[in-house]
Amino acid sequence: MNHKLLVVDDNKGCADLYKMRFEYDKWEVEVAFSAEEALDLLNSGYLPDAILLDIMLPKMQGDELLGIIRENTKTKDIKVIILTALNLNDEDRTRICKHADACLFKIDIMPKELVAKVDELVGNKK
Amino acid sequence: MTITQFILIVSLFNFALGFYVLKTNPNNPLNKWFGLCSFQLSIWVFQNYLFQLSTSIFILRSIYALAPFIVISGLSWISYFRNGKISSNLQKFNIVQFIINIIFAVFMMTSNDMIISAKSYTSYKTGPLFGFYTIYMVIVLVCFISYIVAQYFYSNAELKKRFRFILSGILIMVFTSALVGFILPAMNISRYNMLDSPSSIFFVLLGTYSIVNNKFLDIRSAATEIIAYFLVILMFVFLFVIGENAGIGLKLVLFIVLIFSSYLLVKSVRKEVIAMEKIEKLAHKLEDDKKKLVELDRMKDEFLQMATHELNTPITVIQGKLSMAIDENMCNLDEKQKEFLEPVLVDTKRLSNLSKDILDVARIDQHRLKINVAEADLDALIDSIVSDFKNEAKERGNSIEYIKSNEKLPRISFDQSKIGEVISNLLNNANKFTENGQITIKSIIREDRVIVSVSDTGIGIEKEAQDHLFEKFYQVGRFDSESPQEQQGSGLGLYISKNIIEIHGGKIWFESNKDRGSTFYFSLPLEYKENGRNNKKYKSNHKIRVL
Repeated sequence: MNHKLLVVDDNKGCADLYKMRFEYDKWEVEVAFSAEEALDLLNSGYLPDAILLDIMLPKMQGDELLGIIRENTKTKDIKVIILTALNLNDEDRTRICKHADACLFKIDIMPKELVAKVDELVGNKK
Repeated sequence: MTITQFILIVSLFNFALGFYVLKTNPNNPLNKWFGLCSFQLSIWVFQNYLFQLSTSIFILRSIYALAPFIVISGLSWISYFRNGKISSNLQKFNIVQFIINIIFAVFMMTSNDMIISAKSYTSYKTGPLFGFYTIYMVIVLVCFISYIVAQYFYSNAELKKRFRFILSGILIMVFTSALVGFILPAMNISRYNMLDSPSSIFFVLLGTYSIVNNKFLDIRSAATEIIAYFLVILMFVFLFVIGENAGIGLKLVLFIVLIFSSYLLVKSVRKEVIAMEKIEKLAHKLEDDKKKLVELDRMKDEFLQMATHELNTPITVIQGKLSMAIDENMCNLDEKQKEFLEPVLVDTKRLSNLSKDILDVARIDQHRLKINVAEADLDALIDSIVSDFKNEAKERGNSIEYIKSNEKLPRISFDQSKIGEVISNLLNNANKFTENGQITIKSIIREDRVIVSVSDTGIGIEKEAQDHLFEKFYQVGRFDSESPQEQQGSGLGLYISKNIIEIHGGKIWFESNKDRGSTFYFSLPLEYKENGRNNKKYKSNHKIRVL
């Protein structure tokens, strides 16, 4: 069975990029353009193996959504990879990323490396 | 006011001035010697006053006995004023003077060969030895004045300005003494010769000014203080020494001084209140301005963060899709198409690095670059970076090797991500300027530091470029048409690296020979100190974080 990925990013270009690249590696990808949309999906029973989570989202911010995901017993074990275009200082990075499984800077990681990283986190051996 | 009362006032005023100077800096030898000189002059003038009251031979003898000692303290303070010390020659001269003065004083006080009798200030009978005393006094006074003149001419312009006051004081005193003591009596006008001792007021007053001078405010505050001291002394003399015998003149002087000092007091209190109000207003304004600046600083950082975020998002998409198309060949591009698109990917990567670097530079310039220091294994960090870098080096035909220190590197405290950034930056530079060569990274321990070096066998750095390498936006060969585009960076890497290393309390430097390669070194302390670079600029929080 293919692994499922939820991409939470308000930028369509980024969301499409990740969707395209993960689907290329046979992942089933859903996209949410806001934290609220992502919450609706999760509350509807959709349980992905991993979530690519942007920080800067329209209303609720990514780190807040992460807090909700971690508090919910059903979703708390989902691998969450924070992926941001914000050049955070170390202090903010530590604060925002402390509950995430990985915290990556968008422009630092190429799509192929990102897939490898998420594969490694969910134990997807190829 | 009679001349006698005037002499008393001068005596008290000399005392007040000496006391004031001594109090302003009691530990300074200059002030001590000036204080002593003023006290001696005050006593000397007071002796003259007493002699006016009662023509006693004892008082007259004591006047002559004390006078030469004043020259010693005068010479000493002038020497401290000009040189900050007393030269050994002057010390010897003073000792000789002191011995002669003692001999003269003993003779003066005990022997009739000096002063036989005294009828009045102008009429006393001297003995055969008094001539020696007079010659001696003329000699020491000539020496004294010559010394001051010589010191004046050897002083620099600034000191000369202050010396002029002393010189003027001495000249006025000498001229007045000569006038009332010799010139006028020679013209049979003797009634003013009791004014010779009060003329010392010019010397003491201008001497005080030369010490406390410079600013108008200083002088006003000095004047207020001196008047206060003078008033206290005057009141003391008035109540306990003169009492009922005080003449109307003296009472008038006391009254005027009281009014004047009360006026100064009220004025200074009013001024102080106004000044305090102004200071309070300024302090509030400063506080508001500080808040505004902090807010502006925060907004600036936020703006930069947002601006780079907005830049980074499209860069991510462009870079990601190009990488998928070129590196992963997801679009089945042929070689020509790949060749066409590859420079776009290279430039997009440059753009993404530039976006990161600009924010780092802004943080460095605002002293807000933070490091998270924790104990870590530098060896392991270098190993991992070198291992990741091998492919990149291979692309340019370079081999890369890490030669570890013979002595195992201990775990040291540093910011892994930032030091990793520095090592990557040095390796990138080495790789950029080397083709089909060797890149070697070494670590060694030297005393209390670990030194990491990155050497290459590349093109080296031109002499004229070497002085500018760590400057912001400086790029070697930036305007060199022969320099390939892919060799160009943002010109910020070394500037950022230098700052990261310096915040850690380390140093960064290099050696380079044109066409023979370069070696970049950086050192890190084995024991990290919070204020590695500059505590004023970078303050730390509880987690050894340097701002």
